[in-house]
Amino acid sequence: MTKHGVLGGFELLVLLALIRLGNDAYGVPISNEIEASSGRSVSVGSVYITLDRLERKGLVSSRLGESTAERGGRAKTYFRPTAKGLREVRLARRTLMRLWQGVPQLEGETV
Amino acid sequence: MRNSEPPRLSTWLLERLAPRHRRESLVGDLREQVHGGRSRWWYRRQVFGTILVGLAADVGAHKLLAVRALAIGWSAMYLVYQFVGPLIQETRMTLFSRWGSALWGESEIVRQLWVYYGLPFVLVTCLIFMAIGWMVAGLHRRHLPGVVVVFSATLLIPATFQALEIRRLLETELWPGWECGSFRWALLYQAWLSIVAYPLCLLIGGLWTGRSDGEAA
Repeated sequence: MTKHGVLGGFELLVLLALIRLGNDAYGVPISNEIEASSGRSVSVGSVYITLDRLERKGLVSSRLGESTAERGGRAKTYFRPTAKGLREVRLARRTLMRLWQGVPQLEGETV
Repeated sequence: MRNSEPPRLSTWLLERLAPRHRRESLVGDLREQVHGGRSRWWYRRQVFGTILVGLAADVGAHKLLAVRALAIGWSAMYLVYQFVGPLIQETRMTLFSRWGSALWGESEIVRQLWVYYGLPFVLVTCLIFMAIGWMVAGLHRRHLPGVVVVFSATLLIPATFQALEIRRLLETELWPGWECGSFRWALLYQAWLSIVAYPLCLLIGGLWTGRSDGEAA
């Protein structure tokens, strides 16, 4: 369990994007994935700050990757969800599903 | 032809103000995106957003350090105000009274630069602000950008009061020689110094430390 028992909204989005992209995703593709799914503009900085927080909680791990000329010689930082991270996402899903069920106001709505 | 190089000023700011821990990857990621076809405006928006959330997270996670930085910074400012300020003022008055006409000769512009705008002394003050910013940043290297920006921003509090006072003076129209306008401009110049120039000097001094630190790393 995370500090407060549930993942924060943006933390969950970042973790889900990370899972969807597969292992070894890095900053910009993660923010692009969130943008494509939510339709909202996301700053890469806020993604990195959230990834740092998730790493401190032990939900993701990171490793330094290669540096290329088009990156100005700067290395990528790759992220992947840990087993604990995957557990937390499943737990968040179960919690949300339970809360979702039996709420008449939310039934039949499509986004 | 489309320019695929990221804007230099934005990159300069990003290299100094982005979250330290992920700075290299962030700069590389954004640069890669511009090379991949993203616009320079997209890059600027990302840099602005990244710096903003990074600074907020930095200060939020180290509130006590931010308070300590403010205490050190404002103590240094007080000491300068108490001991260096009068010295500068005295030097200024001595120069005016003894060698005034020799300094500005027949030129009204040079005279006004000295008398109303105190130009050489403003430069000294700017250097002092840069030195204080450099010192505060040097004492808080690990959390440098957030601390320096917060300290610079606190200068805007007294500057706002000064600006309000200047506005009051501008509305009185009781000063001798008011009509010629020079004194009005000098007052606006003082407000500009307090609101823009001095906080900026403090910021530059602080980020200078960040640069040399980053180069060393």
